[in-house]
Amino acid sequence: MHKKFISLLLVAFLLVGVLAACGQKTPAENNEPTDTNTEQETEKPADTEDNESAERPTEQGDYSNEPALVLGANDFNGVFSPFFATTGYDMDIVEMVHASLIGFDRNSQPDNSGLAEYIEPEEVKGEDGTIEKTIYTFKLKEGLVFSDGTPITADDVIFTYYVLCDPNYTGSSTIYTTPILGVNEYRYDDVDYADKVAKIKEEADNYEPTEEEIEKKAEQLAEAYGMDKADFMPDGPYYEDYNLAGIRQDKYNADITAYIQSNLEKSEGHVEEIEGIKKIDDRTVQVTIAGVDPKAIYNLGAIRVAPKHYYGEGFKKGDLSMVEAKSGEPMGAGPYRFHSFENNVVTLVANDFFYKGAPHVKKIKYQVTNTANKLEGVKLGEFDISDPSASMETLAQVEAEEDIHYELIDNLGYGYIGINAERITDKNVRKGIFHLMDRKPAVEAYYGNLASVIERPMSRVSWAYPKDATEVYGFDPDKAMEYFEAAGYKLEDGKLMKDGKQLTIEIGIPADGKGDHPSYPIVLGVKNEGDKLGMAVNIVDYADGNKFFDDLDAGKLDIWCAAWQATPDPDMYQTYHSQGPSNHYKIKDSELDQLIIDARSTNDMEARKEMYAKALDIVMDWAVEMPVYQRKNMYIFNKKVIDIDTLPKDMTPYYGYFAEIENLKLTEAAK
Amino acid sequence: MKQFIIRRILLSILILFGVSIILYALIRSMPGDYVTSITAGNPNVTPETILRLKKLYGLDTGIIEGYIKWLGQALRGNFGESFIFKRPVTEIISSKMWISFSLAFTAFVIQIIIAVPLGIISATKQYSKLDYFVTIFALFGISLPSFFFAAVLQRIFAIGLGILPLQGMVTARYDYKGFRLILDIAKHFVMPIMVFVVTGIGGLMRYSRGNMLEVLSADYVRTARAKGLSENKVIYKHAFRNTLIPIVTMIGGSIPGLFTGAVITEGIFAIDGLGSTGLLAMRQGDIPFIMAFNIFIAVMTLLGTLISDILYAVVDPRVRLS
Repeated sequence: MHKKFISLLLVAFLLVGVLAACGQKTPAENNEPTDTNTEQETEKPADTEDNESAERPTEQGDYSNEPALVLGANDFNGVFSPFFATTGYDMDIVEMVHASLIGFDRNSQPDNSGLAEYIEPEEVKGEDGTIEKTIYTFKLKEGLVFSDGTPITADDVIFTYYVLCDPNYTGSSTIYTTPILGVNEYRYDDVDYADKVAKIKEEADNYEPTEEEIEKKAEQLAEAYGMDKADFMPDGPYYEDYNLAGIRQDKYNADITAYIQSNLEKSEGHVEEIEGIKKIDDRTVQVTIAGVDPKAIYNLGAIRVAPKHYYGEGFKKGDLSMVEAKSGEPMGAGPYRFHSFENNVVTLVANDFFYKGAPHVKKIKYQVTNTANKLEGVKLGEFDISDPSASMETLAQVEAEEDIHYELIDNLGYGYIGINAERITDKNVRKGIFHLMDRKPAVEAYYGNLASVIERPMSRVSWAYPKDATEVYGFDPDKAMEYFEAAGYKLEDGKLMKDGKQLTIEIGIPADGKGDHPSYPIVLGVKNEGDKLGMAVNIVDYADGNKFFDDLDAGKLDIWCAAWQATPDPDMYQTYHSQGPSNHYKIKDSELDQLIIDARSTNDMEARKEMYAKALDIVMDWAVEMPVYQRKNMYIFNKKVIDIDTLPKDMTPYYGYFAEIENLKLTEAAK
Repeated sequence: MKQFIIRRILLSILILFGVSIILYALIRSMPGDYVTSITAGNPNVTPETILRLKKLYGLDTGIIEGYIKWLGQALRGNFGESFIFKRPVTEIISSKMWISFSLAFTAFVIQIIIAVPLGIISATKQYSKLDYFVTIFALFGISLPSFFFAAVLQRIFAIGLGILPLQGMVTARYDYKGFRLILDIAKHFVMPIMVFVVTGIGGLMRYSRGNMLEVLSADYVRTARAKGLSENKVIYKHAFRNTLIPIVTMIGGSIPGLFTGAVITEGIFAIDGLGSTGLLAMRQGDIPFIMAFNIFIAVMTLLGTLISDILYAVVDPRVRLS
């Protein structure tokens, strides 16, 4: 009896397992490419060129002999929505499936390659000559259709804007920070939004604090700066700028937060439309923004136009559930159509309605791979294109391979070493520290030819980077000593002392706890030179990157090593303006503030270039940010499969290898 | 028995409750949240934006309030929508666990087939050359880090010999279907399964050996020998069955754990299972997914111990659960 029971039980276990294992395979089996094929047939435009139908898979839908172009990519989140995609690889798919309203050239300047022609924005001047409004007009080209054959109209463009500006939008786009007329009223559902915010600001600016508040703030400040409390009291030298201003800022922050939060609670639907977004005719949309914003074209023009009839069924303000539900199955006007994402492979098939012409490569697949295997995967022919992390070793291996073509493209961003001016208050000390930084050998050792030293804190990719910039702080310990002496430090017993305290600095670097960072040799050099000069240097190597950024945001680091991502527009408000939210340097310079404001108030590129060059010089003189390196990314291509001559020429970070995807061809051998 | 099961289930619910509190508190205390990770490096982001997004993602509450909200929904079976995948977490877990399971289960069956006989043989021939070999092999497998062994396998079979695919679940270039697709998937799963088998086999082997040794020194085995039974009969008829008792309980208890995925191996071989997905979610602070995933692991663990306890009573009549 018992024997039977045991064996039955065991058999049952095995059966359950086997059934389960089989069940898992069924969805994969259902992946019948026949579907794709029939779809493609029905969608075939009437005037398909002859040579293309020859490349098409056979009528029977047997794709097994039709090889796809395969890319080695990192993990997908499977969110391929033009609204909600956040990771780089998800966005790659979005870009293949959707087309952008305005196209941008190799330097990220708007051109006519998008769905709409680029028309210079119209500036509306007020009576006093300042620009009150800027009007952007987007006119869709004629005869455009989405990949399902429906025409692209102004309604689709407007729908895309409305989703991105929705109060309950949770994606990473920040188009709503563009001063589109009425966008805040729409988002905060309050017709008087502007008046209310202005009133809160005014109230805060005229707020007279009580004695208790002054006392409390002074104590906080004294502790934060390590100074005397008296300095921050009404008779002290720092009362107005620090204590009073601080209290008023706190009040503004608290009141505005309360106001916004109370608005978030209730959503009653007072404001149903965004004033600044207008439909002129079926193909024309007009967007009006307050004042001037050179960044606006990137926000407004770079949207991926989404078909309203597909994403927007039943769309109304505040309810994006329908839009979100389509995240896994995107549809748009891009060069490819989304077919499937299963078994860690994304399959795309050509969109023969693509407005720039049907792509030659009929099928593209993205195979998820471990980063460490990217080069091997291409070598073994498992995929044809990939982006291994660029190192000297990888470069040497790639160069040794006859069948691999590679491209090195500048990374959008740069590495730097920053100093917090509120923690190291003396400019001479900061300059002295900078003179102890030997950047070139460090960058060469880490990146070889894959990176170079930059002389201004800005990505060299940007059009605003001053091409003739020269070195400001060369490696020179003697000069460093001069600066330390100028700051009042004297050598006592081999220690640099001032007011009985040794010169002490702490450097934070997120080098995985094992010194793995391009700037690590630089800070190590500072430590060594500091030891010789009598300065105490403490290097903190963060194994946890999140902890590092938390400390940086909290202003706990004297000196830190990090990198900035670059945006197409070089606006500096965020990082160097005294009110900028990412101003970790605590740089506060009225001339710089003015330059930054002026530069973001005009669309004149030449004038802006000059202003930014000046602004960068001021930043350099403050000695709060040492520009370190501009690195390159590597892309590799299998020459046996891809016709290298059909890749775009002169690629830039803004104009990558898929910028002209419709022209890309496979080699004869691969077909 | 019934009473025992009911009591255990009630206790499990209590344990789950405690586990979920600890999990939630830990996750919310991690530096950096999802909103920070999607807004980081975007110069257009204002504090207002962050405030709004935190509200929309439910990250504006304190840990206790947040936990109560989460629990309220979870008790109704609603584990929420994943931040990063934008789909209900239960849907993601139920779709991916079968991939993890099919890998782990195949490896598990192979492990049993190899480990149990080897363990028994090495016990019957204690301190023989074979015993030493098996023991060394077992310890070797236990000590081998999976990422290292995976890389070695890739180097040998994919890069060196070129007979197995480097990684992935299917050959992306071709659209196989039907039997060829199954064959293709099987080919891709060979190396991950090898990793599972070699790194996991040691424990089971040592366990079987230890149990067999214990049984062999039992009185009834001595009696059997004294009766003059042949050695084969002693071992395979009397001792072997009793060795199976603890092994069956161990195996039964391991089954639920096969669903929860393997973080490292899945990552290296680019397999879309629960383990690698869990890691991805953890890195980006996807609270709904991490919570649901960890609760799932906790449930499976509790289920595993419960099954092994019940099985113990079932296969060994001497054990009475009460």
